[in-house]
Amino acid sequence: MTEELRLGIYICHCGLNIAAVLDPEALEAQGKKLPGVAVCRHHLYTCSEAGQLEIKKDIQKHKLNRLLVAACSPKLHEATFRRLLVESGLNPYLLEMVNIREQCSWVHAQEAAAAQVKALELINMGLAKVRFAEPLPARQVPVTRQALVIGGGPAGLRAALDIADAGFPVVLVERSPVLGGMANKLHRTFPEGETALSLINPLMAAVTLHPGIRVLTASQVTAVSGYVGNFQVTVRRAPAVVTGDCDLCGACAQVCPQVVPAEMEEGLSPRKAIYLPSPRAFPARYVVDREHCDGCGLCVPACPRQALDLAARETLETLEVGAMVVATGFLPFAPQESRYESWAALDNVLTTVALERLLDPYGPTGGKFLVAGREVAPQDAAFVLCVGSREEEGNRYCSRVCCPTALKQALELKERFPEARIRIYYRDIRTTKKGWEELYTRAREAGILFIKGEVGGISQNGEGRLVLRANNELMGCAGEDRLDLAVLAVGMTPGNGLPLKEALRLPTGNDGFFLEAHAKLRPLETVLDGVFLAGACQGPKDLAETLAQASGAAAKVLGLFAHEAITLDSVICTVDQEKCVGCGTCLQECSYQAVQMVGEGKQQKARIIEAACKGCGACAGACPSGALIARGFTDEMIFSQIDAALAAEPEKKVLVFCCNWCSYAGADFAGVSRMQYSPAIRIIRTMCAGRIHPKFILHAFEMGAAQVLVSGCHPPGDCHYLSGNLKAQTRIDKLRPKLEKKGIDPARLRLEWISATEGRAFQRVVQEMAAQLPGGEKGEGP
Amino acid sequence: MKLLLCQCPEIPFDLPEMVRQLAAGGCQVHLTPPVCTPVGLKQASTLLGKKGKWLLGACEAAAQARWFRHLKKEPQIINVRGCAALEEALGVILLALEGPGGRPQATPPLHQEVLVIGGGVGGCQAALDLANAGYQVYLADSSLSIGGAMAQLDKTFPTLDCSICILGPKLVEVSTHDRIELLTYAQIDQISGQAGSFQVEVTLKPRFVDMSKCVGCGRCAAVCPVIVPSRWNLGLKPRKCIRIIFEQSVPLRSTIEKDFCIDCRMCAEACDRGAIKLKDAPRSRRLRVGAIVLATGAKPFDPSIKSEYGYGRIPGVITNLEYERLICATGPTQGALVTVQGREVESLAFIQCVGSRDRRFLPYCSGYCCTASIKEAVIALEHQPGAGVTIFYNDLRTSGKGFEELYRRAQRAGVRFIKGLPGLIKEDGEGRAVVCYEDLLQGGRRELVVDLAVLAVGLKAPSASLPFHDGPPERDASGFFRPRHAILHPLESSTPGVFLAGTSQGPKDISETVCQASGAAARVMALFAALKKAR
Repeated sequence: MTEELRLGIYICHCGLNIAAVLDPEALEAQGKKLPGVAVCRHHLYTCSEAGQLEIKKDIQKHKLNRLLVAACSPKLHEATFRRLLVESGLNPYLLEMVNIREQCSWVHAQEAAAAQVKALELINMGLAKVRFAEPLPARQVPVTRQALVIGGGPAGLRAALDIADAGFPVVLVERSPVLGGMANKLHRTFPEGETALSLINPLMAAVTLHPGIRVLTASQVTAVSGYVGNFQVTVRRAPAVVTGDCDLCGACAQVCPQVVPAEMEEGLSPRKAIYLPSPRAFPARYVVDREHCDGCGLCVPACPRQALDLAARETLETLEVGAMVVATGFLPFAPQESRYESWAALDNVLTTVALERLLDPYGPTGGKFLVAGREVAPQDAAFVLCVGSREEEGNRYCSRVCCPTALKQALELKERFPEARIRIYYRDIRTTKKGWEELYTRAREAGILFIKGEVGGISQNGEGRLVLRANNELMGCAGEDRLDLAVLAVGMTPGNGLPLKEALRLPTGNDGFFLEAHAKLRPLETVLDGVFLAGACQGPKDLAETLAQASGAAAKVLGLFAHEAITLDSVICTVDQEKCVGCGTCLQECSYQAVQMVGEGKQQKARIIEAACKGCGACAGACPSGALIARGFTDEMIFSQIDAALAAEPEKKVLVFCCNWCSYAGADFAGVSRMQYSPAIRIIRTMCAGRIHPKFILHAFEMGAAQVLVSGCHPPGDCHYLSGNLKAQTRIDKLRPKLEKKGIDPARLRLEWISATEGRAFQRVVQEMAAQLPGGEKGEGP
Repeated sequence: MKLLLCQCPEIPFDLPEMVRQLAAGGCQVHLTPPVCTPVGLKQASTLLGKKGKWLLGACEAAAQARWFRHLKKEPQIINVRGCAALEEALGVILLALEGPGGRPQATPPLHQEVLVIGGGVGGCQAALDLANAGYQVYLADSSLSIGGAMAQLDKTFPTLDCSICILGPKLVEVSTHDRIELLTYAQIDQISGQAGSFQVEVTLKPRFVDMSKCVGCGRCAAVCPVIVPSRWNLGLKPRKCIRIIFEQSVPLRSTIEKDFCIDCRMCAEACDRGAIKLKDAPRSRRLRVGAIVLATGAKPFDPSIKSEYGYGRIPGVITNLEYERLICATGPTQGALVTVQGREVESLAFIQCVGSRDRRFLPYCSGYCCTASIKEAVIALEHQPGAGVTIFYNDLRTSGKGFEELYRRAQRAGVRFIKGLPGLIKEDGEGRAVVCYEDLLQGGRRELVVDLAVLAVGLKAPSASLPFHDGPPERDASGFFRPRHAILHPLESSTPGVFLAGTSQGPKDISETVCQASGAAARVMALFAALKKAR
């Protein structure tokens, strides 16, 4: 920095909150003597209108270029004072808050003298840091106001419509040749029993006819680059063998010699290699199944409109979009490829999905109840729940929709075949939603029998009937059940999204479904800014939930598109190209793909993709050459804070590194709760525990620190930067032997997980550490 | 005029009969397969493109989406599917055939501001999404702070995140947002008007503290001599007559509960900011908004009605919300798990379906309680590793993302699950609860003595009705707001321009509420876009 430092220090009384323990006037007198200080004042309430006005006047009069406010926690009023700087024409990042309330007056209420000394040291630490504060550029990135919706099922349709209706263009990419997704296979919906056609087809028609939506069916997203507001997406489109001239006459299919089971009908009916994918879905056009087409060419002359071009090739298209909605849906659990294989192979065993097709008058049998080619009226039918869900081995999660699906189907079967004896084998009946419990009641009232027990096996006996073996847990006995129909209520699996996972590098959870940014408060967002989730690709969901979530994802996109440019937080990382040795450590440490290696061989350097960087500083915490600069928390800032903290009597100090989100908030909470602890504690805040480079810890011990604590969010999930806490743990584990070699007792270094409410845990840990100091236990115990 | 009828499978009456009657009346009727299928759409387009004036009998979706705008003359579309009976459909058709019905109404000015009623996590999320998209939002809440029920919880399932830690920053974001105006301690007096142009009368109740001067230091509460029961901690910890409702409340301001105040003026003397206003009056506000989001939440079921569980009589019987306050670090015992008598808790029973799935009270499943109790059981073992923890259930309904995994974790941690809901809870000589139950899997009637019996109470619809001047949103039999369509329009109420988020339309967990709130925001934006286009 070339300009002369002109610092303003403001010491807040916070009424008596600070002033009852500390002497702000004495601090003011001491502060005035510090180097570079142009103004030092105390105020009853610095955050009040009057307090802020005074600071504004000083900024003008004394041409202040750095501000230090010694008051409460930055979590409370950093935003307030940053706003003040902006209003005064200064960069908001030229501010340092020194927390003399939560970390001093409130927690050392009985030790005023020691607290006073500490307060001045805290101010010195803040001063040491703010000297290095640089104006940070506001990060504005323009937004391409076109959205990409991936997946044309109910979620994708709803999201596309909501975005397009608000006036922004949408491209909808669907892998299969028709829109509608799994909803095309549904006959009726629960709990009201309306036909899926009457619910989903209007959405499909609206999307197809919407002037603002471009639909690309038989297309796949193969690559994504860029960042929020500016994605480049590559879409691979299947060859357009059948052109728009097709009038659905079907002459091509008639001559096609290749016969395969129709997947849309769950294999219940055959189709040709050139076929109409669905009688009711959009777009209605014959397509060629390249896997089964042998290129015989019989269809070409058969087409009266010359609508076939067998030479058509795949095309690649690049789209520019500002946001994406991932709505890739689910796949029903396939019992054929699992431990249920032998059950599924039996003639009279169906899945709930196949039964849905059988019951549909638009289905493969025209609504006739054909099982294995014969029209039957089942006398004894059983539904088996939790097939592919809640398993010890396999899918552990509950698929949420199988219970109401089975209830709906059982009721429909009962209505068609009133004589049929229907039972449902269940573990728990999970009818958790409005109207679902009524469905359960109606099923019981209709005479459907519910048997709690796990089904051990299904086989066929000599007479061709099914034999189902199960435990009746309520009766406490095992039994065999003779049936002519068994229906497996299959769960949902994440199947569809996997190729996209690679293209987008979008994380999935243990269950394989896409992972939301936060299970509770950010269920629609992902860790990638500008990429949102809708529907069952995030986890099993029913239709109503899917549609509500899709609207929610659309709202997120609309929030982004409301602005021509977006401002991102300026506290991010950057690379000193001179110092960078191109080792690539940062590339591995970054959880957000925000690091890019540029150049070849020895010229290779790291570069930060600013829009993708979240500013956790995990890269800087690992950089071996000090080339990574974590803005707002640079190496020189932290080193000088350590120096200032340990300037006097370091052997009586405990240096604490706190992450911004959990443990600093935990320390604040200890303060708010007035939990007393030793005045020997000195806290340095970073955004994440992952920012703590081992060199800081070594430096602290070299300076003579008695004890060092690194604290972060509880693993695995609490970390606000995915896994910064675990990165810190790895580094500290590696550091311990090094400390030992240097003759430093590794026990002097601790790593603790402290959440934002664990004020008591914070107090306990720092008191334990303070007890190790010469002179022993000080302050009030927990 | 010629009539084209869509053969929608959902038409609830005899379509051929209607065609016969219309034809007998001299009307030229054509039928088409459902117009929302490719075949139907093509046939309809061809027919409607022919000469003459056409009327299309289909559904609301067809009318709204204007599927035939590509034709030279767009046909008039009427909603036949929405008619419940043949007579009604005939009436609608004949009215439309007779010509343009009704005078065109004068369009009132379009207001693009939004009122969100309810400042729980759902209301906050809807407000933030709307404000971030550029709309001005009023967020009204009847209580002293926003945050709703979530602010009272200790941890959230399935991740066991601390509730206020994740909610707190969101509340601050709401309160500091340029486009959100917070109206706390507010009462809605009247809502009139229509989508795009509502007028809302609001009364802001007096706090007897100057909001612009108070800094939330809490010195007034420290000196206040009047101690009153605290609803926030569910009566478990008293509070002062002047106080900040809870440590992380937004806005962080004191309020005097005037009913208890003795006018001693000690607070006024203690306050060096001069913020105490012992004379204060309600203030009225009139808002003009284009849309309203109802995020009014649900209420916990009062278990004292289910008298066999002894709630209110037996000290060892508490509700799950009381338990949340008890184990919360900011709660009345700072998180110590003790009984009302101050004993350490060595055994706990969680009892499911209290009020829920019970035809006498709430006929539906409240959804959240199974996983909530499992979470609470896991936390109990964290507080008291050796404690005996039992959950009495009917069906275990851990059907959300990660919920089943939490169930397994609880089983591994040693939580005992017993299928069978207790019939009775008695009291032993020392105030402990004696749970009488029948184990449906092992068989046999048994009793279990526990220090605490925690009742997993269901969620019921809030009883207070909203003062809609004309056409209040419909409610279902249980009193929850009924969505316009359970599957297709889960976020719209029956009143146009009024949207639903969260538990106001039925029990939901936090993430569902948050999803829905964002969804409601999107639907509000779609409404504004449509209204703008129409003008």
